[in-house]
Amino acid sequence: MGAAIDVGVVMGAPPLKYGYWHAIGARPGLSASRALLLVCMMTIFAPEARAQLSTVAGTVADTSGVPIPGVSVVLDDLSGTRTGMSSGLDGSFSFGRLRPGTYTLLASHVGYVPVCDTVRVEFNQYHERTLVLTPETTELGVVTVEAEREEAAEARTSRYSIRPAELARLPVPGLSPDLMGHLQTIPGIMRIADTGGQLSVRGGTPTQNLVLVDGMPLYQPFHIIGFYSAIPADIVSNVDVFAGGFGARYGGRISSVMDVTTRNGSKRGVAASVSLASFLSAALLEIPVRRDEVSILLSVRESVIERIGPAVADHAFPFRFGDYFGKFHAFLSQTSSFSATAIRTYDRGAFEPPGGARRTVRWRNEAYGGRYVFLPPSYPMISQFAIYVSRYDSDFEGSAGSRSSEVTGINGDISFTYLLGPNEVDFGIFARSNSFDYHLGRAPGGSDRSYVSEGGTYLDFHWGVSPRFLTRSGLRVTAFSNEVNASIEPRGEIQWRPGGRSGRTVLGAAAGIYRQQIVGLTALEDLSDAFIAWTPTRGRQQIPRSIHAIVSVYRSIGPRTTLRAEGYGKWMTNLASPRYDRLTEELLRLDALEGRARGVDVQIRHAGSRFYAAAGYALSSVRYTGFVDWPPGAPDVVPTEISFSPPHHRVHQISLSSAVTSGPMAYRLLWQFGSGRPFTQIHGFYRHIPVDEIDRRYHTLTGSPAVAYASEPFGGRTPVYHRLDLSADRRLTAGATEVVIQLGLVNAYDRRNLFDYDVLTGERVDQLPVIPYAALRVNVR
Amino acid sequence: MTGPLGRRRRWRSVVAAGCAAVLIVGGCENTVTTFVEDEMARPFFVYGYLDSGADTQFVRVAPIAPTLEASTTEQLDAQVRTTSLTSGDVVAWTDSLVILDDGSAGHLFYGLFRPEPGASYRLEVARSDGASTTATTRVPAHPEVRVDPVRTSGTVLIQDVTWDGISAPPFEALVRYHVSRYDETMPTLIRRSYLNSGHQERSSWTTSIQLSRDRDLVAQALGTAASDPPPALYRIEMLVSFGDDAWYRPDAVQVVNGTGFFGSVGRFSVAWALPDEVVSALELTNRQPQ
Repeated sequence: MGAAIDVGVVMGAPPLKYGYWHAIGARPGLSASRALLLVCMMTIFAPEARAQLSTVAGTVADTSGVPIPGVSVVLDDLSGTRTGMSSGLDGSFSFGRLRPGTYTLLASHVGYVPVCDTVRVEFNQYHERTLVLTPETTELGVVTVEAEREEAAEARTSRYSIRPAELARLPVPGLSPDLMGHLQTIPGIMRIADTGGQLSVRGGTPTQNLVLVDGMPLYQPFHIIGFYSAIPADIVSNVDVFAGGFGARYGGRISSVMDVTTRNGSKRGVAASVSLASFLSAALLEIPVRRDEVSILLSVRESVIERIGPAVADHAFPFRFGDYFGKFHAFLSQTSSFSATAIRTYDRGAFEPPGGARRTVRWRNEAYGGRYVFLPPSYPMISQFAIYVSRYDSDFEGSAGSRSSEVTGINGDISFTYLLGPNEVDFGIFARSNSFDYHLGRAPGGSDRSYVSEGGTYLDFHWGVSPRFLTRSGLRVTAFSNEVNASIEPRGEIQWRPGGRSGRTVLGAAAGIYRQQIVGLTALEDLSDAFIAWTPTRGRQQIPRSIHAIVSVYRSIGPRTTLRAEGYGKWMTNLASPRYDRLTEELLRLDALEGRARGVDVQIRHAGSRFYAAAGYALSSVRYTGFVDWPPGAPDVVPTEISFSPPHHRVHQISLSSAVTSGPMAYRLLWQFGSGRPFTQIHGFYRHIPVDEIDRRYHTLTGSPAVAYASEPFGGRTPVYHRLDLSADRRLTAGATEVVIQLGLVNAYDRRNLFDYDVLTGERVDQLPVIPYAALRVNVR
Repeated sequence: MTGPLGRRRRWRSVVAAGCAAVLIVGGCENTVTTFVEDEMARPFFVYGYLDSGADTQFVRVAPIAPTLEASTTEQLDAQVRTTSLTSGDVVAWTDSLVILDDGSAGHLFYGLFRPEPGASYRLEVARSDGASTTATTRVPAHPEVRVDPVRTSGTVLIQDVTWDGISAPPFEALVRYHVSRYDETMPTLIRRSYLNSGHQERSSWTTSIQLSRDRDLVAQALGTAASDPPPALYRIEMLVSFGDDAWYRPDAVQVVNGTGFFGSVGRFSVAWALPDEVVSALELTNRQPQ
């Protein structure tokens, strides 16, 4: 599902012919019915045909447009497979026989600032690039040029495609850039707190986000310190983030998708890097086992903040986390490859308000899997076969009780992507089996061991009706084992490009129905509940469902500057909300809620050669409704219909980020703002007398402590959140060794942002204070 | 303005604006407002009920406070009164300090009146600044009672009594036998609870009085031996206590601008005479008023 298309070119292998598919009759404008018929026939009979490879070509010129001959142009497929050539007399260059994937194009010439461009290659495409070299003055350095035109062509409603270079533009502590750093700058995606490791996307709960690493789901992919995910930028080839409206190939979650494709290790030479930092230290190793064919990529990260933090910030950091990643990749032939991926993460943390009770939370993710990718030599098709195991366990320990949860999923996917000229068909079948073991309390359903299975199929059809009009329609059908009705989920997206594929404006709309059979339970009544328990939806319960409707505008508004605006509505039903006993920490019951989210996300982004800036703003309204016992924890209450803004909602969110490169120096800034989050205020305390017998014991009964909650659920607002992070890097190069030194500040003006607050005790836990940090990274290639 | 100088000035402006924004936002309020800021909201917790069987009514009153401190012996800033919504009668209640189970002090207000069955009352607990908590209750009205003829089940004598117009089983259900030994003239009261032996059907509650079994209970209580002359029966009656809806449905508790419980209880009784043949069959001596 959404995994890397990592079949690459085996250097020196006989070339395949370009354009053969056109020769056998596929053509633009193929009707949908004929295309589908063709797909079915191809699936059934699977005859031999020729694969379609792509070409990246173009010209190198100076700023006045004069072609520059003899420029060294290198194409790197991010796994270390590198091809180079010199530009011709007319400045031209061309790289053919390219498999789908993400490539880096680097042009360098004496007297000019080197230029680097990223090209995302699909099947059967011709990518043309003009690389403009700027005369060197006093500054040297690599300049990144964004391919505006390609970006516009790839723009899709609610999809944010993130490339590795972008992940390094934000000031993440330590020289180990991370996916999390970028996610928090996408409007509509809200990191609930600096600590706790949870993201809310457009009003959904954190457990409604599907996070895939090479197709393998990670149940809790974010570390307890909110700067980091389990996915370091060093291992990323590409990330597609769908804030909503995603296609039929994705299922099992109702809010968003983060589909991470990892890169392969270098197949040409050993590469290694080590970074030491006060938050997180990391090591990366790439080993070409067989030149140009087999590679291994290993990544290890371990937190050190719990040891170094108290010394640099005079503050206890009772958090410990880390992640381990390994990937084996081999080209089995020119048209097939195999990869095996393993990832393991752990997090432990304690939250202890001054004078309050200590609560600890711990979780671990594991995922192991293998993927075989085969490109039939004579078909414009990619077939993938994957099997993987994902596991997650977590536990929570409070002063009065504990909870634990464990889930293991075994998954198998088979997918086919057919390229039919401008059209594309994705088809797949999948099966999964999940086992659960959770202990949340003595309430009915609070503890159980169970197994649920599901299987299904999906079909996504991308139809280029014309260069200006594109549709994507899909259907996902899933059957479940545990007496739950089968789910049929239609999805759709349309795009209108007034200027054609090379135009500057893209208008789009997307809609779909989404269902989620396994649910992650987080307590809505807590401001920040870091404990997540995964449970199945049972036969009598309805499966959580959401409907998305989104409209979008994407426009290139200036040189390397883009504007993106989206309006969305999301309707959610059957959301499971756990209610825990505050005294015993045990599950009391599960409430079923309905939710509605709507809002506007706007992002302006300038990605210049030396200056990068992005501003994002999200305005949203989120309301949940349901019959719940209200007020919470009050005795003698009956379910009452209440409507409220959930505690993971902020009405306003602003994100400003910038990166300036000047020679070997790079400066980065990130400022975030979020309006207050809802919580339930109280009127005060009293001693409650139970409604019991008609005797006069109540005359002298002391009663038990009780809280008079406000009549409006979640009517209070926490203080606003804002934080400034800064960093500066200096890069030193000597031969094959590169050293990067970084200094930075987290929460530069020491804002006391609230993490958790107990209204009953007044105990407050704050997020991270100002923390200076230093980091050193050594890259050897 | 272009050129390095202009660019530098522009950058300075941007940086200055950024710093100003940071300082402005950095000065934002950063405390959590735990309590609802409306000071007039929810001032009191109340607990009590009106009892149609008593001529003094009681209600516990406590302030809803920012902290859960032990109560003090100081006078509570609260005036309590009830108004009959049926007759308009107003009764002022009096505060009294009671020692609670844990040794702390509590405020128990009392009002001297007997509530009328079927009447509605509003309780108002007012603070001197005008903030008040109110609660209303309707005292259960007299239910219709049906005493069925005695029936036999084998050799056992049973009599059904049905109370109509109540939506839940009673809190108390007693059958009282006024009896004495044959050689005594002052009747003794023998009680038998029928609380758990009745059944609710829609808006009526019916219990089956086990006369034969109760006769044995009476004989045993009086210490009458089998060879002794039969005990005398003076009177048979049944007493029930019903609560209003607030006792059974928390959503029916009508405490406004406060929290707690305020309900009411109706106490009712019915007496009847057993026919001579039944008294004889029970091997009792009939001294019921004719």
